[in-house]
Amino acid sequence: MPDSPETVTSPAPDFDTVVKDYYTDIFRFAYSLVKNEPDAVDLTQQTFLKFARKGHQIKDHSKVKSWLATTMKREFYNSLRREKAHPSVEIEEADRLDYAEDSKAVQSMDASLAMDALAGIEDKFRLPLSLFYIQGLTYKEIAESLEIPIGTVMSRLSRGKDVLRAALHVS
Amino acid sequence: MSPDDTPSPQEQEFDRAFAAKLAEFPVPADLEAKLLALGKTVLPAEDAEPQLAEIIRPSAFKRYWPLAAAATVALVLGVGSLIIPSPVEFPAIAEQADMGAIYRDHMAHFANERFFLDAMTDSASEAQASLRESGAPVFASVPAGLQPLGMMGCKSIDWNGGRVGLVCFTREDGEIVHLFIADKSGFAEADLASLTSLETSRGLQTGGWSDGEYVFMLVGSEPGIEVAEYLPAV
Repeated sequence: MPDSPETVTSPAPDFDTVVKDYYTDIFRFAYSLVKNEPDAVDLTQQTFLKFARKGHQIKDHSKVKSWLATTMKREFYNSLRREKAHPSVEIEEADRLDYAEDSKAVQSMDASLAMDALAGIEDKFRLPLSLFYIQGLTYKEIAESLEIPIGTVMSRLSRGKDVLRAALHVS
Repeated sequence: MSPDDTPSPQEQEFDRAFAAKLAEFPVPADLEAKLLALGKTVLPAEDAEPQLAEIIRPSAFKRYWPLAAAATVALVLGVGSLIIPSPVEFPAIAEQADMGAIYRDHMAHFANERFFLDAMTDSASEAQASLRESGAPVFASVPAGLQPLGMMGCKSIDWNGGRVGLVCFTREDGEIVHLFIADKSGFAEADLASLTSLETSRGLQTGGWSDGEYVFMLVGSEPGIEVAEYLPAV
């Protein structure tokens, strides 16, 4: 998992600090949702615009990261019609794949291929996977962000990884 | 990984490798500068409402604050009864009624009326304390969909022989989203199913859900105010 930025503690972080700490992860999360750079930039800006206006209302500053992720997810759902066709992937195939081999394959692949594989899978799996891999959120934070039980997060991550690994093999 | 155990070392290695690969995904070179510039042009939304003891219809607070101030003056002058809104009265409830539909209709009716809030606060704990003190139902924590919004205040409402809690949230554009909270015991299980549909009631968009012992209903403050985005994810 990527290193998480330092936990934000009192006093409240200023806007510039939050941008510097989180904008790269937030952009990558946006890209995984919208699958193209211009829309990802727009979505990132929209998210930080909301933070500029409402971030002062966040009482627990350790929640800034998950607040940004949750806000971005909501902005995404608000602004886009997302029911696009996703490549269907045989999950059963992934079950037979080897994690060690996949790790080696991932290390040698281009980052854009990894991002495309993630961006191509259905929302149900893509959202928790993006929050897990890009934002580095814990299961509990993902559950709060997606408003689903933590057990559902775990099962979607588990099944999502199978779908993802199969997609990596396809790509 | 299975829901019951921790990921295997091989799976953790894959996780690290994939996360590291995604972290290599290029970010536009000018994005940071754009975002930093954004912060210099946007002022935070106001979070400090005027400290009036009572307030007029929250859905139009910004437009009606002079009236609220006038009400305060009128109280001092002893003519408050001319300005203070009367308690909201609900239509009669027919026997065998679908209480889910009635709840939706009556809360939309209430949101269209003028009323005072019991407490003006942006603090969830203060709203909880106020509602509990008056015997009204209240959430254990602010529903996730509403957390990005500001809180304006709360009110306890007499309805159908019991109490309903109302918490008002403010959107970025200043409009209000009403969250009504009723005790689930007053509803038949069959009546809860229809709550989740988004419907326009009395000109306002409404949508609800039940959770634990409570039944929640969101109502916009004006026609066109959509509440779908504040509902729990299905």
